[in-house]
Amino acid sequence: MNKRVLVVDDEDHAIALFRQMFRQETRLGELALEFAHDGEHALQLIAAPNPPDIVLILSDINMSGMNGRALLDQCKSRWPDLPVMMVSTDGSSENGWPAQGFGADESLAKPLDFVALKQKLRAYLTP
Amino acid sequence: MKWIGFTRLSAKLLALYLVIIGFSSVGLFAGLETREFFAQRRNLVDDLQKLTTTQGVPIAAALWELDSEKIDAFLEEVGKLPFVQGAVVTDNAGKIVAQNGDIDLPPKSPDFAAQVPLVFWTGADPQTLGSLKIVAHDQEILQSAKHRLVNDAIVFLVLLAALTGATIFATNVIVGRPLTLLQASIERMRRDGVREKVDWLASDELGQVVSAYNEMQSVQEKTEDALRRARDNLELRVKERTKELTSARDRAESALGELQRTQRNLIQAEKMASLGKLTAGIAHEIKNPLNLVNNFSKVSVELFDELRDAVEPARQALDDEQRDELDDLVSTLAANMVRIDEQGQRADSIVKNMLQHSREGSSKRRLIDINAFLDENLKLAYHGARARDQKFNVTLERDFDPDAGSVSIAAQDISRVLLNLFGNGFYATRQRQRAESSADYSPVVQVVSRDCGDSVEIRVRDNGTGIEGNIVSKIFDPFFTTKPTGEGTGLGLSLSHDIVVSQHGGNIEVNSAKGEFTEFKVTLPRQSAPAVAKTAGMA
Repeated sequence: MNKRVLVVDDEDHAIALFRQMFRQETRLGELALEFAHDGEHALQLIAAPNPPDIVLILSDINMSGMNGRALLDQCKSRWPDLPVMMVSTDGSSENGWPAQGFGADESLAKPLDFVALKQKLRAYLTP
Repeated sequence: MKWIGFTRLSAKLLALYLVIIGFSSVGLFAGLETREFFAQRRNLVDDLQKLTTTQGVPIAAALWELDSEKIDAFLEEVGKLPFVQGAVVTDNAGKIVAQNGDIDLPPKSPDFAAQVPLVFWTGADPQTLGSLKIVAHDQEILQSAKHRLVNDAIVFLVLLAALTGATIFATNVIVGRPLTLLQASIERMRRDGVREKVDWLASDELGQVVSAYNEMQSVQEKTEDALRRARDNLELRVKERTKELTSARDRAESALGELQRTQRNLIQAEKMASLGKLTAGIAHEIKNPLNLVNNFSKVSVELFDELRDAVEPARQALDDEQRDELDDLVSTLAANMVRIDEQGQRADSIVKNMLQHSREGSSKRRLIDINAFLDENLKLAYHGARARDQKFNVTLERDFDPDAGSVSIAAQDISRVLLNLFGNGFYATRQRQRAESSADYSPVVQVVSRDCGDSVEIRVRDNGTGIEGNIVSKIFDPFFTTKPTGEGTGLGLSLSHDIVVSQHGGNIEVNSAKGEFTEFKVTLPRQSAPAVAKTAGMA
């Protein structure tokens, strides 16, 4: 069964970029990518277990609608064991808080270093 | 008491009354003498009459006797009298019987001749025998009158002399001396400006004048003193006031200078801040699309390689022409990808550079020996420039103040500033060398350090192309550059300004003459603290 990673980002570029960056992994079946445009949609996808089986969430912080932080709170309260990684635009986050301090498992900076990201994902996804 | 001498006053007095006295004296004497003369004359006439009458009797008797001798004797006796000129006895017929003296000479005046008839009394009958005539002369009277006049004249002269002497003496004593003293005092006053009282006490009018003069002197002196004191006082106050005003003016001027400098700094800082904000904003906005460009271009390059591999089998199946075309397209596209990727990286580094503007910067301060630091960075800059351009050559002059000491600075940032300044100096001199290409031009970059108490002054001076007067104020503006496109971002000096002024609380100034030199003056406080709080935060 594919380990599905949910990428939450309101930008279309993200989908194309992730797809291209993870084309090898996707082809090899190491993981599968799922995409949501906003927090609401993301929660729906996580809550519906049939399929997707989300094992990790990668979310942008600044989004229209429910922002990353709200999503984080929601995820952690409903699915405490589900790892959530937050992506901010640079080292100091937009809303002035380091994501890790608020319960996120990882805090990543844009532009994403995909090599490092892949390493981290591997760490989380290998049981 | 000093003898003044013959004063003009005396002369006037003398002239005046000597004339009066002269005339009156002369008149008096003349009058007296004239009266005397006439009195004497009358006496003479009387005497003559008496004589004649008296002598007539004896002579008549003698004539009766016809005693000529006796008559002669009588006439001789008469003739002996001083006033008798002559005497003559004549008979009734008129014949001269006897004479004495000179009777021919007419008398001076009719009454100088006295005549009596000679009458002899025989019994009771008078017998007129003849006449006796005596003529007198006034020689004696005249003589004595003359004599007397001479005496008078002598007396008069003596009187005159005495009067003159007395006058001179008197005027001296009473009038001349005080007047001369007054005159001297006034002259003294006029010439030397010294007031002297006249030492003269007298109860007369002159004495009063003198004492009035003295009083006037003392009053004037007091007034003068008062005036002088007032003037001195005024002068003193004016001097004090001037001093106050001068120092106030100096304070005001220095305050004005400081204010102007502060204003310039403030304006510059504001400019920097707003430009910084702008650049930060722009940089920030550009970052995202740039990221995507870079990401996708990188991926595209990778995908392209995969594409090459993927179409390889198909490629083999093509004929030569098609294959060549395919190869051409593929390689062109691949090259394009690479180009895009490279430029994307470049844009990214520019943006990063721009964003560093608005960053607080590495505030790790260390105490750095400034002379050593300058030397190190100078060498670094020089060798770097040499490495980039083989023909680059410049004379480095160091003028380091041994008391320059150490400063607390963020070494990395100040190093960036120094490299920027040195680099600019090298560039300017290189440009001038290229432009002039004369053997006389020797490119020189001079680095100076100076101890300024609680700050250190660093000067970087080059004898390069200089900066045009109308753009000097713009050189610290971000993106402002005179270099051709591609050779500079125009951020060096604005970043340096930021580091020196905002980050370290120092000062950076430029002085330049087009075609001659440019000098940057950097002042760093030894204990640096940011002068202007960063207002351009991360938007």
